[in-house]
Amino acid sequence: MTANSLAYKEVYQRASQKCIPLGVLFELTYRCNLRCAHCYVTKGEQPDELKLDEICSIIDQLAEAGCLFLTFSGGESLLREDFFDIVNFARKRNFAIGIFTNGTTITPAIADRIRDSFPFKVEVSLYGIKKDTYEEVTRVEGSYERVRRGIDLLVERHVPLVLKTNAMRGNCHQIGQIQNFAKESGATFRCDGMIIPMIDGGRGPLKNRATDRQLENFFDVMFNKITPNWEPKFDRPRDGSICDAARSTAVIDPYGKLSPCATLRQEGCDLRERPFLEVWKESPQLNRIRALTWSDAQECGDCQLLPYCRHCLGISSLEEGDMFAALRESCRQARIKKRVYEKKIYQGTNSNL
Amino acid sequence: MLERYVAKSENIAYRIIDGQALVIFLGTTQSTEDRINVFNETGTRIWELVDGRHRGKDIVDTLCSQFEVAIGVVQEELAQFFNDLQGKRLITFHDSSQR
Repeated sequence: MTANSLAYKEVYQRASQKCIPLGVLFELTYRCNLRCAHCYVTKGEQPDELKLDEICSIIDQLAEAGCLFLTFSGGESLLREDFFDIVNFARKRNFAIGIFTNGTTITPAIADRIRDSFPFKVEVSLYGIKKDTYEEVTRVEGSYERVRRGIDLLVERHVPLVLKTNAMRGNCHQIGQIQNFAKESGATFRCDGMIIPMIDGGRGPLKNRATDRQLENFFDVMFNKITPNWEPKFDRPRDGSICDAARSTAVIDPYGKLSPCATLRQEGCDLRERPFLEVWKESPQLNRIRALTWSDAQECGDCQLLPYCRHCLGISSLEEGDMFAALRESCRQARIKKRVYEKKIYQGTNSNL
Repeated sequence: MLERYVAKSENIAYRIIDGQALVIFLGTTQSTEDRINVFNETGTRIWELVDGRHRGKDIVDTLCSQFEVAIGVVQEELAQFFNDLQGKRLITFHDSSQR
C-alpha cells in the first residue's frame, strides 16, 4: 500500500466517523432498455422523475456536504436525454463522476461525450462472454452485439473502464473468461457473488443465485485470479459500525428520496421537501442506521463465519424481514468461501514445504 | 516557476475533507490508487491558494505570514511541491492572472 493510499484510507475512515457523504449513488431513472433477470429495480417508468433543475440543485447541495465521488446509475442512466447536462454540471462542481451503464446505447458520438466529460470511471455490466449467455440474462435480442460495440468504443477512447458482472447460475462458468476479456481490454474487472431481492422485496431475482458447486468454482477463480490478496476480515469489533451506509455513503433515487444504501430504502427522506444536509443530519431513520454496531447483530456476533461473511443489513431486511437476522444466503456463501480459502492456503503452505 | 500564476488543472476532481484536500487527476486510465492524492495541512492550504489569481511568490508571502518559517525554506519547498503537482498534471502555470 502506498503512502497516498494509506492517507486516503485514513481520510475515508474519518469521513465515515464524521458522517461526511464522500460517495453518493444517484439513480437518475429507473427506465431501462434491458430486462435483466436479476435486476432489483421494481418501479420502471414513472412520470415524476426529478427534473434537471432539481437534480442540479441536489448536486450543489452534495458538493456543499463534502461529497466527492458521485456515481450516476439507473435503470439505464444514459436513457435520460439530459444525461450529459447533468454530468457536465457535476464536473463544474469538481466531482469525481462515476457512470454505471449497461453500455448498449453507446454510439461513437456518445462515447466521445463520455470521454470529454472526464469521468473518474465508467462501469459497464457484462454478464457473459458469449451472446447466448449474456442475452439469457438481459432477455433482449441483439443486446450482446450492442454492449460489445459500446465497450470497444470506450476502450478506443481510453475511458477509465470497469467491466463488472454478477456470478449467477447462468453465467458462472464464464467468469474467468470475462475477466480475461477485461484484462485484454485494459479494464478493471469486478464480480459480485450476491444476487439481491427487488427493492420491494420481490424474490424473482433470487432464482438466479449460483449453486453451491458454482460458487465453489467462482471463489476459486476469485482467490486465484481476480483478488489473490483477499483475506478474511477478523477485525470486526463489537462496537464498530456494520457498514458505511448513511455514514460516508448514500443513495438518491430518481424521485429525490434519500436512502442509506441501495438495499436499505427509507421512507421520509425526501429531497424535494427538505435540503440534503437537513435530511442527512436530522433524519431519525438515517441516525438509527448509523448508530448500529455489530453488537446489534446478535444472531451473527459470535459466528465463526463472520470473517468470510458479507453481512448486509439491507438484504437481511428485504429477505429475512429483519435487518439483524442472519441472512441465510450470506451464511451459505461464507461457508463455501471459507472452505475454498482454507483449501488455497493449505495448498500454498504445502507447495512451500 | 514562483513568478508565474498557478491554477488548478481542468481535468481534476477535488474536495477538502475534514481539513485535508483529496485531489484526483481524471484524464487517465491509471488505477484508482495512483490517481488519488491526499495533501497534509500545509499542502491543503497551498491548494486553496492555487486559484489562477495568485503567483507562486504570492503564495510564499501568504505562507510566511501564517507559519513561522524562513522565506528561503518556503520558496524551496513550494517549488518542489509545485514540481510534483505539475508532474501529476494537477496544476498549470500562466503568465497572466486567470479569471
